Amino acid sequence: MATVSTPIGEPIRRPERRVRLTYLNNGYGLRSWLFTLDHKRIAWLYLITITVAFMVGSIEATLIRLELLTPAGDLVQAENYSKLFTMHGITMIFLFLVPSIPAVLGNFFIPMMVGARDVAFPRLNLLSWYVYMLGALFLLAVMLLGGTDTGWTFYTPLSTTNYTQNVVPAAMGILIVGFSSILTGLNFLVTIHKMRAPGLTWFKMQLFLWSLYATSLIQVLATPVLAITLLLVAVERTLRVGIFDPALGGDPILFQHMFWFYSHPAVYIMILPGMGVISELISAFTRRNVFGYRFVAASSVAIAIYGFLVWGHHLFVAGQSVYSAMVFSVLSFFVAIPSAIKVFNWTATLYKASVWLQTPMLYAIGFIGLFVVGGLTGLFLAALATDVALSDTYFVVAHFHYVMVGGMLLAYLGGLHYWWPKMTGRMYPEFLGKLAAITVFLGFNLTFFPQFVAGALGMNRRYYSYDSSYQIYNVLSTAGSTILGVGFILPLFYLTWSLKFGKLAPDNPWGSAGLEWQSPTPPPPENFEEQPVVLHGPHHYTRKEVTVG
Amino acid sequence: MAHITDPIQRDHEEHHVIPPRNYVIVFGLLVVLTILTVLAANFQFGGLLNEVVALGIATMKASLVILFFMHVRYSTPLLRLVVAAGFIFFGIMVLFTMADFVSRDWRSTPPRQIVAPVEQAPPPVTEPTLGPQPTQAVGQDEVRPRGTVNPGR
Amino acid sequence: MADTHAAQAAASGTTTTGTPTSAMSGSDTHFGAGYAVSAGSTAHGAHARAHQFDTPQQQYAASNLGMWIFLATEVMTFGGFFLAYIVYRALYPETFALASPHQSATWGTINTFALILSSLTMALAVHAAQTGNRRRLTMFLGFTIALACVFLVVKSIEYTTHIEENLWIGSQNFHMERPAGEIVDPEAARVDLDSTVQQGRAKIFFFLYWTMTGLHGFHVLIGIVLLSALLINNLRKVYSENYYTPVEMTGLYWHFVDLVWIFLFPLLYLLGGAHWHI
Ligand SMILES: [Cu+2]
Repeated sequence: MATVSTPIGEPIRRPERRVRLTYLNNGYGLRSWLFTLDHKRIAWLYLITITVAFMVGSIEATLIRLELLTPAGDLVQAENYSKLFTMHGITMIFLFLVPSIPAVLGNFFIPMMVGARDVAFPRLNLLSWYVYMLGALFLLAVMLLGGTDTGWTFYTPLSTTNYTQNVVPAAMGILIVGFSSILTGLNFLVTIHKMRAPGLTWFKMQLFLWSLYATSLIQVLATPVLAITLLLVAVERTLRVGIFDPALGGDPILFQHMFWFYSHPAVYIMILPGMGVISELISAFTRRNVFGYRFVAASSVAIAIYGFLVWGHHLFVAGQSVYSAMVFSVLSFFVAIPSAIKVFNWTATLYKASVWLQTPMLYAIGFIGLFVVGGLTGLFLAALATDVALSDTYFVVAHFHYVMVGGMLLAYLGGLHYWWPKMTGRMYPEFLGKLAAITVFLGFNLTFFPQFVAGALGMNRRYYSYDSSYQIYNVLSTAGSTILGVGFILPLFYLTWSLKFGKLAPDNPWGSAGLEWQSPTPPPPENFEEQPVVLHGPHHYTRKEVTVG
Repeated sequence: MAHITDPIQRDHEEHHVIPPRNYVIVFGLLVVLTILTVLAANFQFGGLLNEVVALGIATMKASLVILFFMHVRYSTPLLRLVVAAGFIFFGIMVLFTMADFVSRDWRSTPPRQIVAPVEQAPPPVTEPTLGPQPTQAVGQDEVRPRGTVNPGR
Repeated sequence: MADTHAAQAAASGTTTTGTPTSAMSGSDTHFGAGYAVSAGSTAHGAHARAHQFDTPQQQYAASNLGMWIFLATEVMTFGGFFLAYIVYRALYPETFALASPHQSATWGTINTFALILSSLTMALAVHAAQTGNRRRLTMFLGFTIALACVFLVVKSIEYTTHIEENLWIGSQNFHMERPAGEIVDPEAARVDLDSTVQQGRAKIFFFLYWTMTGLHGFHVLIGIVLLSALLINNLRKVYSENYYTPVEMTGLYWHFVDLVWIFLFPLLYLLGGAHWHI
């Protein structure tokens, strides 16, 4: 469209725009980033902050692993050890895992996948980030004050006594971060409901959208209860009177009900987005639609809703009614159904497919394996009788690290590599990527598999010292964490390096059918040059493409 | 591809203009129900009936506000679902938590009694309750017992 | 392996050649199989709306849905308190029956009327906005704000009385007396209220009372701020029959505040008998 006609009929060639306007060159100053309303830039704000949070949480984890190298308390003693694992939990869960995929990849790609110019409420989106930062500042202050030592669960009456420190600022920090999570979830729900491009009906939506829709449901419905619970703890601690105080006739187990009403569904805030990413990766790298697409889509929403019915499995040894515990135990088993639907369908998609083993796909395959281990060990803990024995042992620690790190973190890294070209316009170095993916997988298993064994043998969690018979498992675990650390540091360096020196990325390096890939790389400020119209279902690969492979 | 009809129902909600007269009628009903609930408070219906009556009237009032003042009666199914979701998930929370409290001591606790300040009252002044027993006197909050701690997962 | 896939991608017409600095040439090069471009989409509507929306209707629908989802989170927020109330009322019904009469049914009823009347004026304010009647909108917003202030004034009178009666939970002298007047609940009438156990439970009731009404009062305060902002904007002639979404959204919020009070009133003031005192 570079030519126009003059009155004399001689075409004049206008100089072409040399640099296409993208969201990246649309303003360079710090203000253009800090006050941006562009969801893609806000995603970057989150990416940077949660990376910092992840590094802080990793340092805390490293100190824990170093301390546990020997049975005695050589590095830190009981009190500091409590602070370490508490801060590790709070940092990783509230500052990293909960916002990770939704606030970074979701923020960047939900509007693109629905074919919209932005999220429904861009100002609210920016506000969420500032609210997150405010909460993070509270938690940073807690860290500088020496940390809090209640465990990330803030169980009463421990958290309301003078034995513990800095509980009020920590609770307030988490409450504030929780509001950020609510605002993000609300924004995504409205975006997915009201901003979809013409033709994009519900069952034409990509699976990443389905999983983030389900995640947002939980964020919106469960997080307020956490906020109010932590507020009650803060009030109780300040006024020295409260409804969880046994001295008044209050019941600490009520606290646990309210806390886990949020925190069990929160587990799905931390895994559902990962499942969405894995569905995208498997589809893109096998060039197939995910097998049983409708079931995978519906299972996301099923997990989100059903996840609200099982929180009592965290209270099996806390003193809740035996009858209640039995009901919760049975209900917990059924969560396996929607989770298994996903795993089986992913596997069925891989069956006889020509799998393109690029870095993101390595992460995806790693995810499936580790999530299966994490999920199946969850059944041991859902079973009332075995849980009584396994409660508060390293078996539990290993179980949820398999889900959170082996699941969510691997999915996050896989998704980050997959979409990196679209986000930055640069390719990451493929060899280093594969090397890091394999390192992470090996290091992860060496770190956490021994903890299953130690836990099954009875090693308690949350103690700085342990019986010397468990030392072999802890040495293995610490060795594994070193490898895992290398696996995390590698991407940090080569991804940063690739921002400037990476190969220029084509528009669609993976030949993916996703709508987000149909936009130029990097995307223009309003995502698409023209309003897209969706004609086919998600992950639509034509017959020809499939048969060539 | 010039004109693809938009198959998405974008819920083209209309702004519902309701005549002020209807609002006044709803207000009148709210006033009547308020008076009813206040009057009912001084009757002893027995059992849980007082709670049922009070909450029943409150629910009716709330429904009036939601349906008419908040226009839910004229809104899309999606919005009704959102309204319902809030109450359903609150219901789930109450249901499962109360299930624990009412079944906690089915076999171990004798039937519930209130200790009355009567001459014939039995000497042990302890009171069997469903909830946890107080471990210490009020007013000595500074030195609370550490309590058993069950770190969560 | 990699080459095969790249070839597939190229064969399918999915663009793999563009670079980030290359100029855009064709209009539909970027859309692979399964997508098209909507022709009339770049034509923007005449009404004022944010850039991410296609039509004012879409913007309104999004705001409305967003507001209702926010209200659902509010239900869960107050839900935590209501859960605690239900649990402890089930555990200690007789103490709770003795605690309710300490709230004045007089003030409570006055405040209930203030709030439902303010809900009416809010609904009429929205109606005025819908019909583009700025004068009536100003008037009804003013009424609503005034009634909200009445509510807060009455509430602070009640709070003062409670503090004088040693019913502030943070106080060292907290002590709940047997309420004056008839006790409706026969079981409650026989309770030894001066025992440590009963005073502890009374503290739980009043903890719930202060925090629930406190959070609700905070919402009223926020409502006054929002309504005042509407009022100022209306005086600056921001709203018309074509644009009044903020009025409607604030209206929803205000009705929700009323809704919470509709449940707080019987639970905190009436169960245990309405006692009329000031
Ligand atoms: Cu759980």
